[in-house]
Amino acid sequence: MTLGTRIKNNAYLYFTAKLLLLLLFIFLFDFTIGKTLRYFYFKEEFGRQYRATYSIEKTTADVLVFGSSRAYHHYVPDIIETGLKQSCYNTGSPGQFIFYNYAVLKAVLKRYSPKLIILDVSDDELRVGAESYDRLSFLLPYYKDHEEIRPIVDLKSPLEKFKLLSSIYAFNSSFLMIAGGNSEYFKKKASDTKGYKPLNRTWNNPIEVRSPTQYEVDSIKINIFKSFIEDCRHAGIKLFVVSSPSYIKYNQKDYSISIIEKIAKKENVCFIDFANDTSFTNHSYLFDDPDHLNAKGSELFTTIVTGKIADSLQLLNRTSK
Amino acid sequence: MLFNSLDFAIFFVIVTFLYFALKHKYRWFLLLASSCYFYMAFVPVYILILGFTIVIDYFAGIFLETSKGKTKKLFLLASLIANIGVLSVFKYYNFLNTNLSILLHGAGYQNPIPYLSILLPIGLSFHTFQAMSYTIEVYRGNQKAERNFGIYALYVMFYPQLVAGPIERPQNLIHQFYEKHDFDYNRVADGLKLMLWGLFKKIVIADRLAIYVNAVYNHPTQHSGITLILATIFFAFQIYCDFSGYSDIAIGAAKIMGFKLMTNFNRPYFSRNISEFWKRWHISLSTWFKDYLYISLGGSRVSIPRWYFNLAFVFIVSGLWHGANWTFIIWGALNGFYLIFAIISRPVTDKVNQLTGIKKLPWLNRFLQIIVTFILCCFAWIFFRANNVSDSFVIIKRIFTNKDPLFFDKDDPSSFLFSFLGIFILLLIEAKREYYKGDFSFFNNKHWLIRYLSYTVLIIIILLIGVFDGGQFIYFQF
Repeated sequence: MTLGTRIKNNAYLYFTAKLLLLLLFIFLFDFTIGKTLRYFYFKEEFGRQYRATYSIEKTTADVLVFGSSRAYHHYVPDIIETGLKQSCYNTGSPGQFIFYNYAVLKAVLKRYSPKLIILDVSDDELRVGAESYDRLSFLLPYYKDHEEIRPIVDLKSPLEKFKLLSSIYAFNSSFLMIAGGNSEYFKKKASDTKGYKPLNRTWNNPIEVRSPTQYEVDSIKINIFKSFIEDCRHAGIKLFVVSSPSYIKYNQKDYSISIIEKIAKKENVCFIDFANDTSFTNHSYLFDDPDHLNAKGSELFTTIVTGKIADSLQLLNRTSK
Repeated sequence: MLFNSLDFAIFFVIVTFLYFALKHKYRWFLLLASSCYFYMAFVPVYILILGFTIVIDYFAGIFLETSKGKTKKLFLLASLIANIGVLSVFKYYNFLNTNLSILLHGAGYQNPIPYLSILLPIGLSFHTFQAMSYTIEVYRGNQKAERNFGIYALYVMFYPQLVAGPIERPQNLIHQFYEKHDFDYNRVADGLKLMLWGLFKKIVIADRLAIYVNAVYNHPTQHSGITLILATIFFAFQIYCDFSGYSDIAIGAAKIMGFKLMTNFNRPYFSRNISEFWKRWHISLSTWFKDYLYISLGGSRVSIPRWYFNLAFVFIVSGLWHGANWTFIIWGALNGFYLIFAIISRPVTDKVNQLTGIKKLPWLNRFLQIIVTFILCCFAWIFFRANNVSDSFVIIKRIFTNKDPLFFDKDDPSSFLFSFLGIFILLLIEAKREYYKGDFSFFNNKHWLIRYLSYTVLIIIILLIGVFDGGQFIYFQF
């Protein structure tokens, strides 16, 4: 009896042989497509993914801005560069909070130490929720080559390293963005400069009033925030934690922001709070929506915050002399 | 442990391997133990609730078989009260209490009854109905009482259909636990194909559509009419793919081990009227209500007003089964209304068909009927998906009044485009299954290369555009 006949006559062997054949097909397709996606992902020249790559692997700016979409749309690097006379890049990324920021910081610190970091914090920054862990999937393309960010990505799930046996998995749902990021047509339309993107609408609705209550906070997020401060201190970076303006009237400070403020105070880190700042809350025309400033608003805000940072730096210099 | 998780994949491979490695007489025990583990992966302590109803129904079954007359009725009643009681406490208590509070508040009183801070046990409505079908069938004499406690427990807890159905009948399932199922290549391959297709529907289509639907339905006042229409259509496909995808995985997983579970969905969006829709949608639940409630009320063999009442009542209860909220009750009532209206208006529709001569163009007639049925379903889905009743009416109002442009993330339209791609693939495959009578098939093709390429392409699409967790989102600015 030949091997082929023996396999055909045994249901288990027949199934195993067919399964192996299928796995071979899947491996070949997965490997080829995954490698192609990886190649073009790191060849992108603009867009959200490109900005992440630039922040993690390329920037050498003196001043870095970290944060979510609020950082991305609120801090104008050109104004910071003029005000502080140092180069600046905005690493802010929509929908990403402290985990992503810390991962980017780790990757940056492996290459060089910026002189100054502005960390923009948002409401609910420390709130318990699976979403912030799930969103770490944005960092999967960097998992292979950046061991410094692996412990942060592993917070998502201990099974992540096994899922990454698939070459495609790291680029799940991103192939259209990869195609766009490599396209000259879309490149011409790109409107971000040094990581900052202005918003152009004007908010016309009445101000929202919020009375935030205490909610459950994530101790891992608190620890990561503390590590962020600690790592900056070790690298000799001046850190400014900022809560940028929103078109919201707070009857009480957001719980995460008040915790962040307490930690910053304890760690002797400068915390600048723009919540309820009437320079903004009295002017809806400075906003695109309640959480985001528009171009006019971001220019005004960046000028003000740069001034405050410059003043604070002068004070620090005088004290150290 | 969700079907679309890596944890389940590992669990399934281990259990299936052990199942075929074990002698037949030990297999039921393996399935019971693994079903307990599967259930306890959600909230471990809730297995006690399941255990409570299993014990009650097991003994109720034996007593029902050995008793007669009023005593028999009493045993059935006791079993039903225990099952519905557990369901009521965990699913409906707070809902009823909220409504009582509103009523008392209106009359100037305060509600003294406290709220319960409890989580709904996973799949409670499914396994409660499955357990109830057992005692009812034993009562009716269609099923012998199961003497082996382990087998009865397995009937209620069989892990593939424990948390989302299909809601099985004892006549179909219990005897299968006694039958020896050998490893059969074709059956295993068919089961795996079904699981793969279910997984595709769940993570490529349903979970993708959910991203847009949630972004819109959670802020209905911020969205335009066209956006709300699109989100509602997306939701129609989301709920279908979510639910039928889960059923396919359940049926496929059971099939691999040699168990035949009932078909739960049969391409419902190709229905030509609401009555047909309910014969194709969640079949195991629709037939449950038909067999145990509708027929018990007299079905259609009663006076016309009573028949209409029976239809309306069954659909309202069906709505309530789906969730403890007025939105579900309205959804059920609306479906009942559709059916009653279709019966009442039949002479008029026949006349219109005759006058327009539409029946001479059967393909156009069929197409229009499918579209009208789909629109009616979508209208009802608004109530099903909306966060509350007032949101439902806001959505309906905005659909007809707001003319703002369509919302989508211009910076990253991927999710939006993948949604359309998923629906397109689904419709293509389902339309082929519905209308194409030839024997060409990608997944069952005679040529192994086409077959293997088809499986591989499906898996690669899942890896490329499937939604594996909550990491993807629409960057929603108001």
